[in-house]
Amino acid sequence: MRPLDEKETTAVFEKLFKFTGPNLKHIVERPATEGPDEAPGRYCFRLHKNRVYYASESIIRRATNISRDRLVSIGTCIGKYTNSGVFRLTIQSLDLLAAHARHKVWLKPTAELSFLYGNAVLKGGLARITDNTHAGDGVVVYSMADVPLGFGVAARSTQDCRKADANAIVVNHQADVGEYLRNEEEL
Amino acid sequence: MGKKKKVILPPQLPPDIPDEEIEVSEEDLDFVNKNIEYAGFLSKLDTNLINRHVTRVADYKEDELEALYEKKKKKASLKKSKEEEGLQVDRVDALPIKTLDGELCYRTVEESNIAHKENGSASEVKDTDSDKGLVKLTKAQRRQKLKKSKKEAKRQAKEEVKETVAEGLHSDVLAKVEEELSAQDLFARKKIKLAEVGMALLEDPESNIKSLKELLHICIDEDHNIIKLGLMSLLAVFKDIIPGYRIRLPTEKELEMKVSKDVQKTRFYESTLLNSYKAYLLKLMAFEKDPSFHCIAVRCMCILLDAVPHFNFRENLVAAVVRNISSSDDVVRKLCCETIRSVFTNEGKHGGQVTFEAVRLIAELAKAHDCQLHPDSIEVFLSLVFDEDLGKSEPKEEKKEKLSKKKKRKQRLEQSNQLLVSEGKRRKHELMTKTRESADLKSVSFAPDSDELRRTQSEILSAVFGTYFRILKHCMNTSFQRPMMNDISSSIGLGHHPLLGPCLMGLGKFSHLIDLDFMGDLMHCLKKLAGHSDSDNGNPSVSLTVSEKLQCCIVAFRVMRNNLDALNVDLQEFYVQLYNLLLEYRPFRDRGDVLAEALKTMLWEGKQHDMQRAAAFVKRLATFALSFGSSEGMAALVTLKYLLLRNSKCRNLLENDPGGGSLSGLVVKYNADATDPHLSGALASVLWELSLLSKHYNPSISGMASSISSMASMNPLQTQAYLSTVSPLKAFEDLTIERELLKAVNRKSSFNKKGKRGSEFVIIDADKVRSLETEMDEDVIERKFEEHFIVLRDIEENEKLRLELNKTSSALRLYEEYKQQRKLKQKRKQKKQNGG
Amino acid sequence: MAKKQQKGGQREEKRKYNLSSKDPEDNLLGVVSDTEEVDEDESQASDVEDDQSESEVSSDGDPFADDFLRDGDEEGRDDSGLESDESDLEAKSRAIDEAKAIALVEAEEELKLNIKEESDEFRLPTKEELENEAKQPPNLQSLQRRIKEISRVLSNFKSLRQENTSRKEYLEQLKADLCSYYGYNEFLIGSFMEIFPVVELVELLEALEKNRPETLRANTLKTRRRDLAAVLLNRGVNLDAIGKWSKVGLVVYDSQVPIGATPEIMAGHYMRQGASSFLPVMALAPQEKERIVDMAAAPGGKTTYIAALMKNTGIIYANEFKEKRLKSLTANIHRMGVTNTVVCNYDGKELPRILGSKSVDRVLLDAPCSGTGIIWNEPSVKTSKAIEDVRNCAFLQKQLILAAIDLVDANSKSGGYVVYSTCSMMVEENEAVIDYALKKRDVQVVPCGLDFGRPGFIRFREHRFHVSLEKTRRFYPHVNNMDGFFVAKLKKKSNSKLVTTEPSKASEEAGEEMDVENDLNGKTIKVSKTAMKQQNDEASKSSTLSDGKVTIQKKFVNVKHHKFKSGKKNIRKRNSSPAGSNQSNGKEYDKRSLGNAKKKRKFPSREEISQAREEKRKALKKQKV
Repeated sequence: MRPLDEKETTAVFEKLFKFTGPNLKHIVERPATEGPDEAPGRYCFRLHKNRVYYASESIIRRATNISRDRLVSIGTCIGKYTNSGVFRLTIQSLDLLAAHARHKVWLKPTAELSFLYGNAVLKGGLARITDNTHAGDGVVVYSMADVPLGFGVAARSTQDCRKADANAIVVNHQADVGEYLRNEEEL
Repeated sequence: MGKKKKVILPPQLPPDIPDEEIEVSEEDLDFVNKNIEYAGFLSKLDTNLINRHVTRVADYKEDELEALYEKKKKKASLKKSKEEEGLQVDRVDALPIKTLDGELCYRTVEESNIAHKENGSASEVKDTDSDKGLVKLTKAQRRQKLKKSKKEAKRQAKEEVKETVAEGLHSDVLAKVEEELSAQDLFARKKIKLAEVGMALLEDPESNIKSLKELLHICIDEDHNIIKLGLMSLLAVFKDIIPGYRIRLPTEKELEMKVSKDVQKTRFYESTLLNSYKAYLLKLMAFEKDPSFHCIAVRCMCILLDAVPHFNFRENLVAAVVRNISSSDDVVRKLCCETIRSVFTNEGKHGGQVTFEAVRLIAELAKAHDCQLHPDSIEVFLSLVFDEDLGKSEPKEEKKEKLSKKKKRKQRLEQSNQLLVSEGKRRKHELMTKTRESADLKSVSFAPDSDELRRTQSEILSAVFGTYFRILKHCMNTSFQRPMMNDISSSIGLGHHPLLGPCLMGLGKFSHLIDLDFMGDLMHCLKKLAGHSDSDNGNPSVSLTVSEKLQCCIVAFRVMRNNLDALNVDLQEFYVQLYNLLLEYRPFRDRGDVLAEALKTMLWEGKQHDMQRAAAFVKRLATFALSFGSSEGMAALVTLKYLLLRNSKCRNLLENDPGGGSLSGLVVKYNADATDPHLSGALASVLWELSLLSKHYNPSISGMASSISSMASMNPLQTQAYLSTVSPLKAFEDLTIERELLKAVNRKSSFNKKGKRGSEFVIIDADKVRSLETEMDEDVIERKFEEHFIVLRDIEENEKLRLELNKTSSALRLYEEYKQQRKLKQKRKQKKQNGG
Repeated sequence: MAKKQQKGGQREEKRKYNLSSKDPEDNLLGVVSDTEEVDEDESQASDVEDDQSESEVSSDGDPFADDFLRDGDEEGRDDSGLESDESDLEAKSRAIDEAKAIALVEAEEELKLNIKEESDEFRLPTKEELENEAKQPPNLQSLQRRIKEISRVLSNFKSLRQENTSRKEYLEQLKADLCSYYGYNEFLIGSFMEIFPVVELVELLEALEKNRPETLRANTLKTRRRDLAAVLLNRGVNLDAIGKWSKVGLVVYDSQVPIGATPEIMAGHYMRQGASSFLPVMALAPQEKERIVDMAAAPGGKTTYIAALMKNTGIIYANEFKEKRLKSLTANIHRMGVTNTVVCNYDGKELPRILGSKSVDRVLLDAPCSGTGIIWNEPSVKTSKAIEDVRNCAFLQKQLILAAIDLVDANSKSGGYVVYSTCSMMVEENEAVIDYALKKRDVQVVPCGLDFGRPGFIRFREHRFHVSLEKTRRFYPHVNNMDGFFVAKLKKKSNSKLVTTEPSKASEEAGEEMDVENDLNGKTIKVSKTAMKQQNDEASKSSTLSDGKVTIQKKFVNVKHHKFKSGKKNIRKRNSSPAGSNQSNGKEYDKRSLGNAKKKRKFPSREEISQAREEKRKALKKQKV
């Protein structure tokens, strides 16, 4: 377990910024609640076994006396480095993203399951979309009951969505909570 | 003076007046010829008037002569006046006493004066009722015809008299005037002449169309009143002539039709009519510059435009009217706005072209004046009507077409689009036009084919929205430059962006016609105006008042709602703005009704909110309700209740159960002054405000609060059942009214109100305890407040008791007196008895 | 199925009758005490003999060997019974039916006119009958009927017993019948019989046949139970609150959608979790901003519940020893939105060394156990578990609970508690472990804060546990309709390790347990090795059982681990005996260890031995006759 170096940090922040925009500041600076100390301090990012974890300082401090090979997970895992060395957000980061997302998409109940099986969001399944979403923005996908189901990348802007036909892809799938059941092993 | 008379006199005059007036004037003239010396006093009457006008006497002969004559007369009068004044007065006084022929003449003089007056009045009257005719004409053709027939009858009555008079009159009257005639009589003459020529024209336009020129000549005068009268009468004449008694036709077509029949007459008639009309208009234009005639000129033009918007030179009329649409003079402005409105509303008269003209001109005006116009000038757009049947099938095509318009505005390629659009439309709207034809014959007679109609309409739309868009842009740009003016101008609902208010209203009204591409930019503008500041360019438009920002939000939502079919967009930024504006709101600086409407539009009507946001709003609204007046509070509470009903997840704000904190996502502590509802962590808090509000002095608020706090135990499934019907806006208004009433009502009623509240104490505590077991500090606060309220109540109780005490004591006193009285009476009786 | 139904119905009558006649509680105590008396006088003699035998017999293999042989025989018998042809089935059944009919008639009239000697209205089957029976496939109805009769007799032994037959014979017969009827091995039935009175035992076994209801726990980190219930109802799930005792539990009656694949469960709004696994967390009652250790966390149900109660504050060390369970553990933790957890992969016994002793506020030890409480979804337990498994579990549990106690800081402001729970009903794994902890550490048993469930035993057969043990809680399938479960909550009074050993009946056990604990490593190896050896024998003998192998494999893993660790320790502590000479050590350890093992085994195995004697006698008689 070690802190991220320069380029890792930038990689992680870029990914996060696509979803949270200026709220990234809040993600980094908000006071932590985890940890038994009176002042758990801030949150920090740690790299452990190709995974990036997001946890409060006090928890990380307490985890130091666990030997590296025995440590499995700490705080929230927000993403991992693929074998090709690319960082990508994993589904565990959903809560963090959902709390700070700028662009949201709400699915019709009929479209929920198909998304939970890893399919992209089509205009037909689109119940609502945040105003002035632009193509390429990170989008958090909600059900109509405001249950965050996953996240992806907007394929077209709100403007284009207005005119797009029902089969047009609105959001490209990146991760969804269905993965907890589908491939628990990869998580 | 004419005006005054107009006011005083009954509109209709007995038809016999003109006759006897004429006779009188004849005798009068004879007499004057006989003994001239008496005429001096007449001259004296209008010396000053003459003095004024000597300078600017025109180059006509009669005027010259008059001028010379006046000069002589002045010298003479200067001598005379010394000795004659007294005598004259005596004479005038003495006149009734003398029983010689003189009396007769004096009477006639008076009569003549009266006659003049009456004459003037008569012409005035014509104007007035012609005015009425105008007004009605806009309203209902039928009544106007009826009116005309009445005039016909009148004319038949006077027929022969006129005939006799007309010939003799013109000649000798003019001759005499050239010799020596007082301005007074001149005035009279002119008025008479006006009247008669007008009559003549009205009676038979074809024959004496030439006399229009005379009228025009009369209008060139040094006497303002005459000019005004002339203008008015001309107006009346034109108004009657131009439409004639026929179905309105564009003049050109009429020409073509007439060519077949007796050409000469009509040709001549038409040409003279046109020329004189043109001349008249030119005159009006000229007078419009002149401050002293400005009002009348504009009035005439308005009336004309209103009456004959189909006739030639309407462009000039429209231009002139629009020019004055935002004048500083209220009368003129209102007049113009009214005219434009009527033009907009009854497009039937003209094929909508005038509407387009007007819109275009107004747009240019706004552009020219850099959007610093009077709100009215834009407000007229609100009365634009887009045909229902077109409207039904239209919006998409409108959008398509306007899309092309926008494209043109951006990069010039609209031709092809335009064409195919019109192709698509033609088929659909044959039938439509048929229906319209059958609907009203007037419009059908020259109803343009549907393409025409559609094109004009789409152009109108594009012009209107272009204007709106320009205004918004302008507000955005200027808003950064002069943020200081805000506080001064904020007292009146609209800041230093006069046009913003009506512009927003217009957008709200026509939002269903907005083109989708346009919508993106529009939303962007509105967002900027609503004070949203992106991270990249962090300059929020501080200059708008809270009300204006709220209006921006409202409009944005209207637009979005009206285009739901396109896409259901979640206007997050606007929610954020509203969330922050709730804090900026000040009861007396900003308009509460706007706020209430915003709540209604954005929260109360909004169907879906995600949990975080709804909770944040619930919490903030509770704080808001706690910190502002009862009406605002009520609006807030209604919204709050609705939100809680809508999304049951937020109801654990009412309870203090474990998980409340952890539910609020990643923010586990509520920070009251968060700018983003999603990061406020409202779910970590508890609605302790309700338990205070449930002790609010206003019974309705306390009742609402307690009912809300009793919602905690509600089953999440039965949300839809309880949905309340009263909207925040309505609640707000109700309570504002009620507040007025409360001021009025005497203490008694307020007492029993208080009593009610007192009785609520127990109940509310009960269900408060049930709904939320409160934390420690909150307990303290509550205890304090309860003590406070109890103290207040005790004070009032004391007052009540004191009142009763006074009453009883006074009653006792009365009783004492009464007893004394009785004793006295008895004593008296006894005395009497003793006496007896 | 239908058969089961009618059985159930009959049992219902029986229970009613019992309840009307006696209160089950003192019924339980009475029966137990009686059995004890009987066993006592019997087993004294056997003890003596045993001692002699042991003294003379050099290699200790034999007694166990013949034990196992006997076991083997029994099983063999069962197998033969299973294999026997079914030609004369009708005859047999007819005969039995007649007998039954007669018996019923008689029974009724006997009941009517209350005659003293009812000896011949129900009598235990004779050897011949047993043998015949053994030849045929087990006739369930007759078995069940006999079970009923015996239990009735035992419930009113004085009046209903047939003369010159001891209670023990009845019990023997009953045990045999139960084993064949429910398919348990003798050991489990035997130990159950020691825990429950006969009537209740039958109910328990029946309850263990049925599935427990599906239960959910609403994740208060993401939703509220009320809202969750509403959403699931809309999805067509028919559910209800689990009961007064939990604010987050839901029980599912039936569902049109797969309850394990709804968007809500994916989003972590709830977790499928047995009702019994709520209990230890509720007993633990974690507070916010505390340091908590979950020593055996997988699959994370309890961990996430703890986190929810702490609202993601404080820190939770979620330890899990088995690598292959880590994935599901972390997945669940993340899915439920738990952010205050450190997941690590240690043997629980090492945790004090890793995290430092006296370093946390509360420890939850949901110990690995024989799983006799969850037989309903782990039927292999019925036959696979032998007394050694229970012992090994108990041994491991004792080590773990000591580790847990060492982890806790006695003078932490808010905490200082250890919660110990198992899903087993064995006294050895529950009360015995707690009692041992009480002797080893300065802790006291405190109420669990659970207002239901039965109190733990304080006197069980010859054991006399600390009185405070009745503050622990036992949960039974047939009573609480949840897994057989045991929860105990300990409060650490001081951090001192010193122990006050009051002389008790189980002091010897305590004593030798103490040296087990003193030089942990050596003993661990030996015991586990012996265990392993015996298991091998057992396996070789009872190789017919398929499940046995699996468990044995598990054991191998354990043992290997012990050995490995002990090796390290050898090197570290007393730097004697290079790693190569483990075998030799092993051998000469074996003797001692076997000694220990035998001594340890003495008391629990008494009655087994006595049984063995009994059957041998029977066999001899039979031969004579």
